[in-house]
Amino acid sequence: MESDYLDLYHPRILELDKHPYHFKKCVEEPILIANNPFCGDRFKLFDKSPNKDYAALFFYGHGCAVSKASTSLLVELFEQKGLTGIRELADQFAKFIYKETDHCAEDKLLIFENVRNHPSRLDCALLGWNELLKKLH
Amino acid sequence: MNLKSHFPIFDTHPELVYLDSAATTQKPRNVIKAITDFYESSYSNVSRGMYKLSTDATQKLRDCRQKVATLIGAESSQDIAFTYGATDAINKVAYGYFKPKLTAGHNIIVTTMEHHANLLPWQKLCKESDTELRVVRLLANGNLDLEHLVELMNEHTMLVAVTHISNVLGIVNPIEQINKLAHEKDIPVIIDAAQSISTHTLNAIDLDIDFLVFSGHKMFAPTGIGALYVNPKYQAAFDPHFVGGGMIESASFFETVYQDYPQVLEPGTPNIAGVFGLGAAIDFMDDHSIYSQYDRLELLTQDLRSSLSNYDRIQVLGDSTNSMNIVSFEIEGIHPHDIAYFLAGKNICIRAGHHCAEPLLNSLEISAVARVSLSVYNEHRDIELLLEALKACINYFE
Repeated sequence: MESDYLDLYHPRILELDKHPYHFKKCVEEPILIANNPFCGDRFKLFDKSPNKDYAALFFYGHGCAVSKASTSLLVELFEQKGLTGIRELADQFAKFIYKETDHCAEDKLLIFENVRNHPSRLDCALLGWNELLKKLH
Repeated sequence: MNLKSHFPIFDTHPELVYLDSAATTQKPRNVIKAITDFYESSYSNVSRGMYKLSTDATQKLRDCRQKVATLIGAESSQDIAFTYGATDAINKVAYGYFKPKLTAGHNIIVTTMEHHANLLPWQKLCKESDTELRVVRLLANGNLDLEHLVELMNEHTMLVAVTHISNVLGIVNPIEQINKLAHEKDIPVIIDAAQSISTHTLNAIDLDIDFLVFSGHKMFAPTGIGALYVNPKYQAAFDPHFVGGGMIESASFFETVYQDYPQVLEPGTPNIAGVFGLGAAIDFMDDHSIYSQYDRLELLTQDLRSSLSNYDRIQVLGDSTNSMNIVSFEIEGIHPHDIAYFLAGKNICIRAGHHCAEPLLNSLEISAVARVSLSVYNEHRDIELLLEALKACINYFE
């Protein structure tokens, strides 16, 4: 039973929890606030790029290992793919997590594959991504 | 005396370490039986049937109302209204009693440690009525600052709303003293007894209680049933927020005369099985002298608190000298959800999050905590297993 629960935590998730990408409190107005009212997880995304083109994104806040790792990858991939690319990826990642497809369009996100078997943690993996999709739609 | 054998959940899951009783308690066998017996062999509606099934159910519902009255030391069963739970009861008081009386310039006082159930109805009502919401702050040790309460009360204060036991900190508030302070200024008090109903003897007359609410599911009864006590001096002034069948003296197309309290607050067919389950839960508490478990639970709580405090990375919230059956804590560097999930893998059930007390956690500058809560089926072995698992959890996330 224990291993069933712990298979949630891919080693890379634990690593990103300890060493997230661009995790820093910023003075700028956040471009996104991802909030889970049921558990209190909350991350803010900041755009520190001079042209406000999402080339230098940072995030800060509180969340579990899964939501922190997931938001960390969101920030990293957002910088790489820009607005159009991340929108497509967010859509696809949500479908992957909800098991509407087994295809994961981004290898880095495969670390969340086992999260799909933990219904109470789907929101953790999608916290920032769903908020982004809501904003973009 | 441990009462674990009375709870069939532990027959089904012998390894279960259930430490989430502040969210909801497990159900003893007699409560489950009362509900299934009703549906299997004595089901009917109450009040209006002339046949035996119905008259028996009606009498049993009356008996359960009396059991609730006896449990909380009310003078009469007619001081008790059945509700869907504590949240429903507080909303009934907010909208049925206070809303028609509030005007601009009035104020209502809540405390920093309220559950959303005893905050949001007052917050919403204050906004709708142009009434000020005042919040009693906490002392550094987490206890209520009663001097601040006294400062906040004035001739325009319409109500003090306070929980008996904090569902996050486990702190037991001095409700007798709070009642006395408020009553000196003729201010009524509503007490949220959701967390204390299964651990503390309450006597509505001795404590001079105005309004008191609790949920059945936190005292071994099913979900969807609770109770409201209203002191007789306030009963006549209810203007019901919800209306419908079963609550009228007379009705025409354009006018209705409502029955007196408590029927005025009980429109529609009641949750009959829930009421019978609540009655059976009170029988269980009586038969096993539940309140005599207080000392044992307090020792278990203190033992848990002191054991957790021995860990450098664990910070325990609240006042170690004044807490009951609830212990909330943080582990540096590990999110409470990850703690709870790790423990779930070891059959240990705790809760993580803001526990419907977000303003309290904000005031403590914490976003979420892990919470352990105890009840009569817990024993020292549960605490040992929890502590072992927490050690493993810290190592795992290291």
